[in-house]
Amino acid sequence: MKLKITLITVVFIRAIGLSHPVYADKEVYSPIVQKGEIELETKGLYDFDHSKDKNVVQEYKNAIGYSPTDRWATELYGEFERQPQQNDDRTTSISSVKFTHLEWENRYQLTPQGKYWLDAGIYFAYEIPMRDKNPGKIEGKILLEKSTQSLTHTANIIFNKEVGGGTTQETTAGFAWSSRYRLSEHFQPGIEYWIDFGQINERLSFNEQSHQIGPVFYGRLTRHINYDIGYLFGISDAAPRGELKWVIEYEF
Amino acid sequence: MIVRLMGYLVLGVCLWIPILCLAQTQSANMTQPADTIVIKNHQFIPLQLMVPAGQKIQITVDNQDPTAEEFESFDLDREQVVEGGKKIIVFIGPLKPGTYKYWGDYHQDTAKGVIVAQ
Repeated sequence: MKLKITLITVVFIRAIGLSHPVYADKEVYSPIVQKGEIELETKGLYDFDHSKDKNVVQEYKNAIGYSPTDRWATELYGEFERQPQQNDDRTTSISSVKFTHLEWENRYQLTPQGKYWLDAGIYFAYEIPMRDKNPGKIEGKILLEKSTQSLTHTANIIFNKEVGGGTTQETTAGFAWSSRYRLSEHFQPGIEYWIDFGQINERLSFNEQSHQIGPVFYGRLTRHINYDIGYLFGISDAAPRGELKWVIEYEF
Repeated sequence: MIVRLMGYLVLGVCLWIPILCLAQTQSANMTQPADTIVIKNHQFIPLQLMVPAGQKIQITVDNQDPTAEEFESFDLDREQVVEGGKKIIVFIGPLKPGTYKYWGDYHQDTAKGVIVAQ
């Protein structure tokens, strides 16, 4: 009986896992690091969907970051989430906003900017759960960027793995793409495409994977404040119908 | 599992090494060393640097001031800090013929310059 309950719980959590955003934020990372930069950052996601377990899912992250060298940038995040939860009557609802993780994030620029045809970097983050039952998570990314005079294309190849107690998933893989038109310093329209392939040992169909695409606007509001705001449309069943994403940075 | 994840990361990086090596060979052949831009008394010298269009260019920024400066240009998509008394290399281009503004982010009133590609 106990085994049966455990199995049902695992199946439920995995189903929820497929239906809410796997990524704690939707920022396509550049491999380029600016030495000496101190950064305060807030970013978030807000989902819209007809389904109760996907509507109004929210994730927020606030961070402080620093770049000690011209190759290495590090940030410490506090992560807050509002996620689907199972009620006592077995219905699904959205939880209140909870402080769920502390995250330590690191980016390392592998190539001098512009020296090669492609700029490259790597990213590594560790999420420490703030609730006993939640697993931790490690995230690795390969960061690639190609700039021409008027366009910047950035790609991230993403791997996620839950660690510690309460893990329910094997390694998952994803991909993020951003292309922006460098119209002006203050306003750069672009497009982003996000894919969550799911667990790499499963071969999910297109609709079981999460695919999102939409317009994103980047730029600098003032000398110190940068923004990145957009709306992603879900184009597969697993993705929310719509998702508002934003990143606001104060650099000094 | 951590080992497996690290394995995927290493594999991913390794897959890019041949591409980067190829790109390095190409860029080594194609990059043209250009002149040096000197920072002195929070000003760029020369104010106007002529470079060839259509080629990748390597510019040395030599900060002769005791304080740091940031070489910044939206036109060139560059933003690099150069410590006081140090030099950095900035890779730019290939550029279309035209004028490209740059400035020192820490002393924007005085540190201004242009690169002219022709």
